[in-house]
Amino acid sequence: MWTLLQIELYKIFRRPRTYIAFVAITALITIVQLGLKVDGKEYAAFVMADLSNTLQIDGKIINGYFVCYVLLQLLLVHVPLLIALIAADMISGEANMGTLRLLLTKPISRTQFILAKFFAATIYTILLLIWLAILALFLSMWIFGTDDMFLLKNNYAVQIENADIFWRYAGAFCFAALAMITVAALGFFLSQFAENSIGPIVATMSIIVFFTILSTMSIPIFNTIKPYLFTTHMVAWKEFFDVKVNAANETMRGTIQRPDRLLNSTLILLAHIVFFVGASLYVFKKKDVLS
Amino acid sequence: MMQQVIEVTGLTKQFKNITAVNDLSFSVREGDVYGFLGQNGAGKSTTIRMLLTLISPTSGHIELFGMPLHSHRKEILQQVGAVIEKPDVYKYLSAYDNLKLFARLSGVKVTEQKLMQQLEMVGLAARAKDKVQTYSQGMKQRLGIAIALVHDPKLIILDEPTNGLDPQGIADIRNLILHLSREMKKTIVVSSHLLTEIEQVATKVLIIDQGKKIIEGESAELFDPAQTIVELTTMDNVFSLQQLQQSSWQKNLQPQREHALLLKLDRKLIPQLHRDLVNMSIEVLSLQPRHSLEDYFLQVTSGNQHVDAFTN
Amino acid sequence: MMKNTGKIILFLFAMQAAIFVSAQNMNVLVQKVKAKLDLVDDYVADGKMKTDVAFIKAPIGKIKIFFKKPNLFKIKRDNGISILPKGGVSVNMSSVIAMKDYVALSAGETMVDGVNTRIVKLLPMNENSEIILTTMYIDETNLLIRKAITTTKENGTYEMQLYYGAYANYGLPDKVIFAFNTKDYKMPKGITLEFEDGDKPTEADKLKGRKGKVEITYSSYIINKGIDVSVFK
Repeated sequence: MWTLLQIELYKIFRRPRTYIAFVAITALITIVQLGLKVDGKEYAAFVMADLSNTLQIDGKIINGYFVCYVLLQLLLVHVPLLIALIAADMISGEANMGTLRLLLTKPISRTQFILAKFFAATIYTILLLIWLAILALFLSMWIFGTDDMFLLKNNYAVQIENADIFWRYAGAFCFAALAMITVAALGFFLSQFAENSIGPIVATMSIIVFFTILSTMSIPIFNTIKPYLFTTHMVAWKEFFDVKVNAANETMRGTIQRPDRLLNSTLILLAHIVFFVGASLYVFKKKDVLS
Repeated sequence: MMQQVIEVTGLTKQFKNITAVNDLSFSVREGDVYGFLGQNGAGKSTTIRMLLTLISPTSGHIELFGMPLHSHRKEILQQVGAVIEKPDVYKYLSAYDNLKLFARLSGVKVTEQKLMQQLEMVGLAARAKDKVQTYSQGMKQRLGIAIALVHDPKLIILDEPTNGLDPQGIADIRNLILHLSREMKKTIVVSSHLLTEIEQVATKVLIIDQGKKIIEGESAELFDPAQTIVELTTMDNVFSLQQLQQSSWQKNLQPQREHALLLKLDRKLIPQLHRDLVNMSIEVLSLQPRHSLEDYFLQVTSGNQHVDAFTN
Repeated sequence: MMKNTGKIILFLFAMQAAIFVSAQNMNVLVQKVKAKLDLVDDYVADGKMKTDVAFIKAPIGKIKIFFKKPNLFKIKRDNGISILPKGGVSVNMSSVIAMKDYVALSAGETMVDGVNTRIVKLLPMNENSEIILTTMYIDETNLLIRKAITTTKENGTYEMQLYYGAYANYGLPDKVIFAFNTKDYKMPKGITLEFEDGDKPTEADKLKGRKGKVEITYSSYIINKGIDVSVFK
């Protein structure tokens, strides 16, 4: 199994297409950072416009932590496409290249083959998230410095102390990795059904867009299915950035407002991953390789 | 006694409304170069994919090296090397990297020296480090064969190995097959729709059409003009069979089915047979000798006749 | 009839005199309080600031407060973000009392936190003054302002409650609570990129309707050691 995994990772990282995602993320992040460095004050003023009628908020609002939050909000909508580029290609790409039939005549079990491929896709996803973290968090901290985070939710604003932030990002990135692995599992599953990668990639993105619309719209008929859609739970990383307050409305360091939501979302995403991988195994073991 | 390397019984594969392989049975002995003949779409590739577990049979039984395939897959495949149709490898890697990758998958501990030896054997050592996307079709074919051989398998399955090759390429493959068989004592299954290619290398031949076995036999006999298969169609095949069984032609009778009787005899005896049939009051509708295996192949694969085959 | 008219005129004079005397007395009281506060030329104080607004969750932050006579005042947070009501927080009475040209009127007495206080209303004479009215609750015995309610043209009404301890002799409080009106806000979803939250309201929702408050707790003062004006920029 370890040999299989090594081989899969070798194939992924020898392929030029793999690096598109890393380059794309680098470009996106640095552009946004440049923009905020140049026009950060205007952006902060725009975001705080409503609050500024009553309140004066002083301090370094545009700091590394805030910039990272903005970046995550933007990128975690687009990173799924970059994940799908690799994950949805894992089986269909081999079929398209004609290598699938050669691989499966080797003395390796189909179960091990599928699991090795999925784990390789998972490792790729995690590496992509690590790269995202290095650029979005550490680079932002270096460029913009650090300070408290002042975040606007729908109905209230949250100020989180500087010293209380880093561990939240560690948690948020771990959760984001889980969310992206769910996307990878979906793409991987759809990859079983095609002999070229475009179909599964487009199908993965279409499902994500469609489910995101259902997750976002406040229509009662959708409310029954929303809790079960993985897209509803993919944004739960934001729960790390909400703090409990005591009776005197003082924030309590080290707390999360809704840890139950975080746990629930984690479990739902894990369930999706198990389902997609299980289904992939089932389909692949019965599959006639005609490519 | 030679071991049966492949034993296939009653193999059938149904794809929705299409029966690609229909109740096929055959066997391959150790050391055979087994020619698997049929027109395009006859079911050769489907059969080979079932031998390699790429496709699951609808019914039937496959044993390789005396072990059932479905329960001993890993042990069996460690002994098998295959080239399936056009061998596709990773174009963004070099021949060396591809070979190393597939060798690892085969469970073989590889050294650079061994890999280069393999590439030398197929004539690719000089281009070992070039990306495969720069290779010709013939070079890719040779690389496919190197990959099939890297773990020193006992059984080699080659599905249409000469597809897309020029005459020199075809000759190279032919020579390689002979070398593997004669010097390296490998058992080889070669499928093709080109009779001339099979004729030159195979020790035993199976012809299939529309998924069914047409004939299976030793090449020496099938290609020997002195040993002719005669197809006899009469007004009453049952009566005719009874008569022949009581005659001196009884020893020439072959197992038959459906609408024809088969006799194997020296071509020179055909006129005598004809006279004896008349004397036995057998009303002959047709008496068809095979002039050459190619004629026979074309005849049986284009018509509706399916005759029982004999096996040795 | 002449006798009644005379009585009325006398009464009116007496009233006016009383008012005049009262005003003079309130002015005197205010001046006395001002004089006490004037003992402090400048100070640097360490403290903690808590912003308590219904729709904001904020932590308590360590701050430094700088004051220089007559009305230079600055709150600096040791890193971090500070949330203050618009118009700044003038949590020092000196800036209020520094106002010139006003009329001070007594409005009775009341208890503030168990201390008897005189209610003094300060009306600015200048029509262009930002401040419309200030109501001070003065502890006459100790010459300390316990509470002040100020109505401004631009920034609404805010209320200050002052608590004294070790630095009462300087008129410097241990704690000040500055209360102001806020309006609730709701951000467009496109900016917050939040999904609709169908859950029960959070603790913050329960505090809706309350006034916003800034509470400063002073831990120490360094008084009259001199402060450079550049600090207030």
